Amino acid sequence: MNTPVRGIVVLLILLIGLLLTVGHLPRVLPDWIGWLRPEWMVLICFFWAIELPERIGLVSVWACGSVMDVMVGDAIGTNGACLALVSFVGWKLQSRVSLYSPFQQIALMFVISLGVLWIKAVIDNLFNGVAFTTHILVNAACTSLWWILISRVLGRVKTRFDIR
Amino acid sequence: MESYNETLLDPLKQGVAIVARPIQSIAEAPYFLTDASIDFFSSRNNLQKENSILENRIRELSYGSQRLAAVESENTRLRELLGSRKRLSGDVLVAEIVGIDPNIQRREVVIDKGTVDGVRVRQAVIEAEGLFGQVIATTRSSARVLMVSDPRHAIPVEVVRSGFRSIAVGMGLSDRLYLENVSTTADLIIGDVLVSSGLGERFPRGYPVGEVRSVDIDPARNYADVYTSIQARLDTSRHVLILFDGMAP
Repeated sequence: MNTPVRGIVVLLILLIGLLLTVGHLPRVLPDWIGWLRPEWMVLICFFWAIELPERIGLVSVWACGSVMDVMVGDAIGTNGACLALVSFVGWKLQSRVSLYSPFQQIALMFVISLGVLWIKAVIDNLFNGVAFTTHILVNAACTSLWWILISRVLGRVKTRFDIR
Repeated sequence: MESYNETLLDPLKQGVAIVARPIQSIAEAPYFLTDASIDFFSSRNNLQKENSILENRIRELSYGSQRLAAVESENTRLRELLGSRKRLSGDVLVAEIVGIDPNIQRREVVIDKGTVDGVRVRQAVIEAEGLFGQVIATTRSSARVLMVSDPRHAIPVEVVRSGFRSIAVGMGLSDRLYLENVSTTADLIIGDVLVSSGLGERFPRGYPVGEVRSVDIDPARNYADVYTSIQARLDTSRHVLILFDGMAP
């Protein structure tokens, strides 16, 4: 598989992450289901940060975050900073994560996503006046539970397209 | 909603919005396709029924608008006599909802009209049935609208029957608003119709907001808990109208 195709696959996955982030659930569904949505971009950026630390840089992650900011109406830089932080943690822990048991990986992802959601909640409160809520715990728990599935699927894609 | 930092970073936002808009359209595509397929596969019988309902609705509206024209001209004459300026202006711009904020803590939608169409922050947005919200951010080709149901949204209202004034705030629910600081002796009954009072000069006067649904009076408290419905179809409407109150579109 040549390099441009691998790059396109990585970009496509980031694009799918953005689509899942901005897409809303059908309006007929009750509101609480929204809390079960994971932070798709956190999962995807963390995966690529531990699997391809030399390919996924701060600039690309920040650019994705900026697109997210405009799409979801966050203060510009919020998601860029959060995704950069996630990627940084991924780079630091890349050699260890593969040795962690699934339970430890879920616990780690819970801490990371809770940190991201807390930062976003603080910024949202400061700039948009959105009230704090404990629902971010549910959101973080859901994000961490999705991690095993997402890492398996992306791992398959990485092997299938020989992304290195 | 506007801050100094946002103004500084506005050019960057406008640039990123060019990339973000197609992604937003793709994310919204399944809903557009579903609506389009339902329209396409509607049976002839259903279309005839819908046509008949719409024809009746046009007759009702046409009758209503004739009466309204007479009332409006009388109102204008009376206002001229009082030396007051005309309050309700007619300039509107139709916009389509192209995105819905997936964050359930915020009640915001994205519409397909932006600064090139003359849309500005703080403009009032209405829907066929009632007040929808206000514009809180704009890009060249789109704008973000805060709906009346958002907990950060408040609108000055008055009761049509008694003229009682209050402020209706959003609760994060698409079917309910809360009236703030209503005294236990206030002249309010279930079924009272609320319209925008025009105070604060953000929303024009006289647009329907909702109806009083419940009035809970606790003798131990100074204020009553008053909940109202929301007239606008926040969850189902695909088109909204942006009001240009005295501004050219």
